[in-house]
Amino acid sequence: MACRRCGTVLDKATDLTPTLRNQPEPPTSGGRLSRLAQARRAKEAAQGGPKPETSDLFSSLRSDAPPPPDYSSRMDEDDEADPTLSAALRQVRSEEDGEAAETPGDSATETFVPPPFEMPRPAPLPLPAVDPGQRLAALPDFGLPVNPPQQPTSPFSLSELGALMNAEAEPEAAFEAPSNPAIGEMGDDTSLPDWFDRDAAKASTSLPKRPEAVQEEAPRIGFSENTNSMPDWLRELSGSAATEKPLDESVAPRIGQTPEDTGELPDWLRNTGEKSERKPVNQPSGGPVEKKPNNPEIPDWLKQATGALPSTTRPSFGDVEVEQRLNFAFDETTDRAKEIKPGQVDHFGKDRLRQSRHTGLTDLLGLPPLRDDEEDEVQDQGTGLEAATAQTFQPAQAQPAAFNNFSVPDFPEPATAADNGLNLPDFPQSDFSQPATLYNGLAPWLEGLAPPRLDATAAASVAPTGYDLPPLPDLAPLPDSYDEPDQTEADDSRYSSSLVPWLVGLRPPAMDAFASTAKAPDLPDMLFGEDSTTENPPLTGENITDTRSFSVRDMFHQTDMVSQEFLPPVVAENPLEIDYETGQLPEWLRDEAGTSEAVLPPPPRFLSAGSMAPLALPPLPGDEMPPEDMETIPFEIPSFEGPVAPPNPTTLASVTGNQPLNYQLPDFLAEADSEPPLAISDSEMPSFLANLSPAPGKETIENDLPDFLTEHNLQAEHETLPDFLADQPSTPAFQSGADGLPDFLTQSPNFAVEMPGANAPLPDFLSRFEDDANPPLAAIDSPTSSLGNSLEFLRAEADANTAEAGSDEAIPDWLQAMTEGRSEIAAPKITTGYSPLATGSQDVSTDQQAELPEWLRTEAASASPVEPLSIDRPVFEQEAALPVEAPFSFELPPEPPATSPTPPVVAMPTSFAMEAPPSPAVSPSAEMNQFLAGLGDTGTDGLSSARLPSWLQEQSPENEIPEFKVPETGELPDWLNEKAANPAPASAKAPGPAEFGVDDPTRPDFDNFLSGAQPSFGSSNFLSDVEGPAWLRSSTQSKAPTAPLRTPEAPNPGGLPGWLRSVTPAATVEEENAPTTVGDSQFNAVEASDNRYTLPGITLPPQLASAAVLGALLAPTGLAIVKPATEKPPVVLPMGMRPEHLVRWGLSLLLLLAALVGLNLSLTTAPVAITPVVQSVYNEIDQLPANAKVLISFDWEADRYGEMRPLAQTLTAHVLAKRVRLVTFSLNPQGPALANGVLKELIDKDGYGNSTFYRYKENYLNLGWRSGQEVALRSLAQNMGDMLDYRENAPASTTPVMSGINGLADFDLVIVLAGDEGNVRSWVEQIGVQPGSHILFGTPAAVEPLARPYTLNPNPALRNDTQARSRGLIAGLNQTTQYAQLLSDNRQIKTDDKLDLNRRLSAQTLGALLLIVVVIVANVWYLARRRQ
Amino acid sequence: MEIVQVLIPLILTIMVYTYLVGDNPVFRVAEHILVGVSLGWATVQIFYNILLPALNVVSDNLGNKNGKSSLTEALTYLIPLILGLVLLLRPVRAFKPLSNLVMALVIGTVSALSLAGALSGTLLPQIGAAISPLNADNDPFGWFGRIVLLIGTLASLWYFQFTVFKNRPRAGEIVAQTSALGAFSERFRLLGRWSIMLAFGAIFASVFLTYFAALIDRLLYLINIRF
Repeated sequence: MACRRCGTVLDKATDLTPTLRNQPEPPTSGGRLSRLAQARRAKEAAQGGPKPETSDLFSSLRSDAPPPPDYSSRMDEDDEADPTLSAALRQVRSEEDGEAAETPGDSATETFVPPPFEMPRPAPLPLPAVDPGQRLAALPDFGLPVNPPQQPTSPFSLSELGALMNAEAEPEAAFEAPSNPAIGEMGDDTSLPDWFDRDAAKASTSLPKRPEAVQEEAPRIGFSENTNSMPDWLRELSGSAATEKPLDESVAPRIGQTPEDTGELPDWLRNTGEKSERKPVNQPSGGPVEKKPNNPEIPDWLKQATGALPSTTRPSFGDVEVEQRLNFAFDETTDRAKEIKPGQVDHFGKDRLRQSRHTGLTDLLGLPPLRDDEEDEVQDQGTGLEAATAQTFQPAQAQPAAFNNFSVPDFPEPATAADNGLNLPDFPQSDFSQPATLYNGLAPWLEGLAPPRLDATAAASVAPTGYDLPPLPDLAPLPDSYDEPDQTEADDSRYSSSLVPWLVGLRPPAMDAFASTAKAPDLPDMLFGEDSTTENPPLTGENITDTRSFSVRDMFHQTDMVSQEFLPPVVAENPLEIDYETGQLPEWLRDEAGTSEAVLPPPPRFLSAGSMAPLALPPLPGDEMPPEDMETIPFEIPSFEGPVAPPNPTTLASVTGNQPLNYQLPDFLAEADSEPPLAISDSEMPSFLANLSPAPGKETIENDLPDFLTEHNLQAEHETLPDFLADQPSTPAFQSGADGLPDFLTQSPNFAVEMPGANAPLPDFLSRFEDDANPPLAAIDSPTSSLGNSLEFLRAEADANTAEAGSDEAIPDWLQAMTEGRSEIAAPKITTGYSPLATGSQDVSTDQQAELPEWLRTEAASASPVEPLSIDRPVFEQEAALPVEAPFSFELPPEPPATSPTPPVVAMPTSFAMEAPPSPAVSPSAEMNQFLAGLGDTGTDGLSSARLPSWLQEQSPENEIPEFKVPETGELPDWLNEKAANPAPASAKAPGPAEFGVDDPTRPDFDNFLSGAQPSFGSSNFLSDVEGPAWLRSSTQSKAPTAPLRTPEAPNPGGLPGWLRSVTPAATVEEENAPTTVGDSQFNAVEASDNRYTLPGITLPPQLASAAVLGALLAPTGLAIVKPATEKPPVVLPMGMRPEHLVRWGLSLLLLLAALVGLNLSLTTAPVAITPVVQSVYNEIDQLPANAKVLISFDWEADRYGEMRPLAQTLTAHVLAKRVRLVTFSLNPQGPALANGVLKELIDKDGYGNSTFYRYKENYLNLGWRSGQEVALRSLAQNMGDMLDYRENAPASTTPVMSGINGLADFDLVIVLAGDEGNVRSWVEQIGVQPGSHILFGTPAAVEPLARPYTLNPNPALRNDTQARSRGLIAGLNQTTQYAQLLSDNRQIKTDDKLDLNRRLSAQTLGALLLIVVVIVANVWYLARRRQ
Repeated sequence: MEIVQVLIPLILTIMVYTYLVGDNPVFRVAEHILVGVSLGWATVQIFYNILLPALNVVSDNLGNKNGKSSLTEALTYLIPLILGLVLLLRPVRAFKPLSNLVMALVIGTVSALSLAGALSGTLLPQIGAAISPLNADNDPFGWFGRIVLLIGTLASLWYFQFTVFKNRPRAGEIVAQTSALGAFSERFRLLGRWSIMLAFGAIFASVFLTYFAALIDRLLYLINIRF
């Protein structure tokens, strides 16, 4: 039998899951437990094995919990239900396991090949049982969380948006979704998302495979191994564009068939696409574009976002972040939640305060927030988590909670406008209820667009943490349809009415895409819409219901809405002629508005006066503005240095009329601006990028390129392009010039205007850059702008290494070989990993440096004493030991395919798996083939210049394509040539522009930042923790030593909180991941280890790492360290020498000594004090008349002889002294003998003077014993004549003494000498209740407390003779002595000398005193010991 | 002979006190002797005080001994004798139903008598004694004593009140808060507990005196031995 987790074949002896193996063996001794266990096993065996108790939340937390449910079986079900998705998953997993992708049809006959056995890992967090299909549906739509670490729940994540869209579109269906698509489900090992539990993914025999690409040349952003070079937004994009079937079948996207396949579009494109639908849908594609109303108002969501700009402080990447993340994972209440006031509702009308309670891991686990009625129930149940997990998933409620925790990827230090010294006028504020902190999470590019309400202090006080971000602005009140051509801003007043002209078309990122659609529109289909002219039909009818029409064309027409044609003529003629010094809009703008100045809102804050930086604006398309004029335009750069959300190129274009400005670019795009115009062909650009980029020939596309294109591909490293980019050249639309552009781009109404000819000159702004010695965008860099910093930094980087970069020597061999079409040199596989907890920064992504050009690596090496990673070293072999984030392995292809590039790989990033074993089936060469497949579309070189747009061709030196080499010095622009001529030392800081000095303290240390050196403001583990985005961390981690790759060290303890350090794995990843042999040795080794609570070497994004940490903490290790108890040898003491014996012996000796002393010393001497109770008894007897009938019942036994004999003798002496008729009687067998002894003593002896009076049967009689207690008393109460006397056995009725006595009631006095409490009660209950009964009790001291309540109060005033009470009670030696004292004093009756009452009393008194002392000492000793 | 009468108690007393060293055969022998002698004594008493007189009555009435014959009187003793024999035959399965009937008769009769006597002889008188008027005398200590007795009695009875008085759980409360009555109940129960403990302490002291008196009696016996 094979291990269910890893597939290792186990023998029967070890045929247990790792969890079950550690269970204690059931009892086998034949006891009840063992029988029950056997019966249960038998039953389970009959039922096909133990069933998982998925309903039990904590079942998996117990070591004896049943094994987790079989995920594979669920996947089988899902395969049937969703073949596309299952096929995609199967393919992903098969690739991870090194298996070739299989077609969906092979899943049925697929045989399971178990992977090697691995170390058992702690049981994961349990999750409520969910439907398998729902869980699969809840898997990330992109299959893999490719979000950067700083983006646990990015609002721009398609996974989040998709869930929210589902919640909006199909509340019912979404309600059934059981888990958070961000992380899947973690109910158990097998139920974990496949990217989370890699083992489960591997072990699953029926996991869906990745489907075959529908169309290879279709541009898609799949999950290839090159994803580590992709920017974050592209990762999300690619994740969402995975060919897996999405969750919602009703909005099932289709795999891209054409270049317009919008499956590759990011969120912001969707958003813009949605926005583009505001335009009339019947607008001809090539017709004039209808102007959007020029509403200068700022939308509410932007106004809200201005509440708090990101702080100038860099988001901490150190302990605070980790702790916060863990707090997040542990559902710690966030500060944001505390700020939420009751009554606030989010954009969905839900209580924000209530949703804010639902944070952290519960969100990660997909647990919905409690409803009003559920919360009370959960509290009643006492286990909130259990109750919460029992609920069904409600994305509609959970998603906002997730949004409340979204974060923005960490980008270089955010600098706000306030930091840059902006003094911007306030925009008219709309009423918004969101607190100022809502703006924390707003993307910088939105910050710049947002109306200013800036206050430097306030901005600094609400520094964004990077992930503790507020929810997005309200999105709900969106119109259901934008199809109406005449839809005005009133219909969409929430946005359009408040938009400034250049913001028309902008929407909250990806929010309105689902805000008003009944069905979650999937982008690929949605983009086509009804206007789609491609072969893909619009998704209508059964595919998509109630989906707004949308098309890519319209989406990109959006850019035109605010372009030149949309702008007022005066704007087109005088773009951005704004008097920023006065904060007034330009005259032409006011004129265009047709309103007075009071009506017009003040200019945006970045247009306001103060700290203006000259901005060199490129001319608008078709604009005649000379470049020199633009340089004079003062323009303030808003801060975009903060966390950057997925950029919105449309926005950028809309602002400046298809000319992206740096201040509108996200960071990763802004960084690229500092570089020279990218020598990259349009073939490397996806279609959407090509469309969104500035028009060819007029502006560069660098601003729109992702950072990986701008940072690492400045030297035209086409190899690093992802597949989806590589596939792009295959698109016919990109053949050349305008013809090479996609259709939807060519159909743009402004295409004719924007698209220059093949021989069109370089765009003005580019040409100006060439002419200008200064960097093109340097002019816009303000000294305090971090954007400028970054630009300057990158520029310096490039300048400092121009000489190196420009030479072929700087190009790695594998790169050169790649360009030459050789494959003998394998490219180093990038093993970027993200293991914030297990490996730390120095253990992963060391090969990421290979991604850098040589000159960059040299730069990085100079900044760090660590030797850079040698790219010649085939690192990919070490991938198994290293948790990698995204396998990035490639090498030169043998021959780039001329056509039919390899379909993009929808790979599961291994960064989110527990480990990343090498993929033997997919060699680096093959990966590179796939990678380069998209490049080779026309020839063997695959880089035909014909594929480049003309403007790029012109841009490249000598009208050639920069084929995988760093441009020579001569190829560079002048401003770069100058830099290259005088390269700065590598170790020196990059010189900044004139307005931005090197020594500027506000200048971020980007060179060190990217080179991996310790930032000046960070801690030692800056970027080494979980906060750094992958690309940022990779550049930092390139300084990590390469040698100990297989034995990575534990994470830097200093980078983790103290409490977390204790749980960090002490063992290396290799040790933890090393497959151990199946057998006892494996567990013996663990038992011998002290790392009982160490965590597994997990390689997860932060949120998943946090969840894993939590799971590891909660889950039992199952490896109990059994240490033999070291018992001290018992001290053998001789018998009776134990402490307890000594105490007993001591007390016994003390009591004996006291008794002896008392008997000999006679401490108490007569006369003794007579108590009332004794006097009362004496009086009762003394009042008896002569010849009175007195019954003395001897109801005591020999054990009471010490007390009762003196008492009985004393009382009997008094009775006999009264010369009454005496009858003795007993209710116990020993009584008659005792009575006989007392009578003989008192009557037969002359000393008492009774022998002369009393004769047996005449005036005294011993009736012996009568059995039956109450029954006997009840019978004797009526008739006692049938009794026989004790001595002669004669009937009582025949004796003279019994004359006139028929029953007990006939006696004048009954004296009961009771030895126990029962006799007293029996006499009182049976005889005392009889009318006229007179009973006296003589009892031992032990019975007195119980017999006293049955005695009348001796005070006559308090007596109630009607009550069934005894008339007196005498007890113990003390009272007996008193009674004897009375007899002696009153009757001169001497008691028997043998009684020695005084000596007895003395001894008893001494013993009582000793007892008191012992009790006091014992209590003091006890209290003292307890205090100790 | 007299020496034997003196030595036997002396030896048996010493044998019993050997238990101070520990459980030992000597103590066990003394213990068994005590039990055996007690049962033998009881058997003799039963035979001579119960069985033999009963048989004599039956035989006299049935055999017309002494010139009297009364079947009724004979049956008065004969039926109990037969029922007693049935009880002796209880181990026999065939007689078990009959023995159960006899046992039921005995238990029923005793229970009836006990319940009736407990109600009239213990419960009601105790209630009456507890609520005796406080102004029965002018003794302030009597007043105080009666008040303490009443409170102690009520507290002792309240100690066996195990119901927890809690408020109705409010919204958001998982565990309901103890009500004011519950808090008072807890304190009153604590007082009752102390009252009971005081009573137990008094009983323990009394028991100690009783058994210490037995020790003294034995010591005195040993001391007074005169050969």
